[in-house]
Amino acid sequence: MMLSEGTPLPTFEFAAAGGATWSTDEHRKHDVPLVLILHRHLA
Amino acid sequence: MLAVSERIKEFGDAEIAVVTFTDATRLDAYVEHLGVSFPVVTDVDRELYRALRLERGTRRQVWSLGTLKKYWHLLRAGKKLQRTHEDIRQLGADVIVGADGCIIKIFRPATPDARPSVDDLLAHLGGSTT
Repeated sequence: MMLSEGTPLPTFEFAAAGGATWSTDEHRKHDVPLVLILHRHLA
Repeated sequence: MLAVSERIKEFGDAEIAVVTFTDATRLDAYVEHLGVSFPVVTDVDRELYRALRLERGTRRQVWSLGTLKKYWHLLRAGKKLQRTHEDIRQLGADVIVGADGCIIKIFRPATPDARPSVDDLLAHLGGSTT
């Protein structure tokens, strides 16, 4: 799977702080855009 | 991401999340260290990193002149640098996703310091915010 601009972002579920689970499609339920900041050192 | 945090109101209703690849047990410490109000999550297996074709940088990329300058400025500003046990060669990205779930823009900086500005992010978010 290779993602690029114009393609749908699949659902990824990740562990979140506090022991919760977070999903990349959560924003769609609220009909709002999503900004993902993928961490790297200095980020 | 601190710049984003400082201008978070300009992002309107957009959801913002920081994706790390740290061990889940370190997430709470990450949140405290970063001091951001948006979710901090972990992609331990780097599935999303791989799907976005985010490579591990070469030593030259990771320790670019810009990166060293950035560290120098942080140190001069009194920031304390912490030793990390994580993969510092992993390159990151910033991704704008529309409300419909389609990817609008992927920023893949070639070096860790070369981040899109908040204005760049907002420009691509465009009319997606409410």
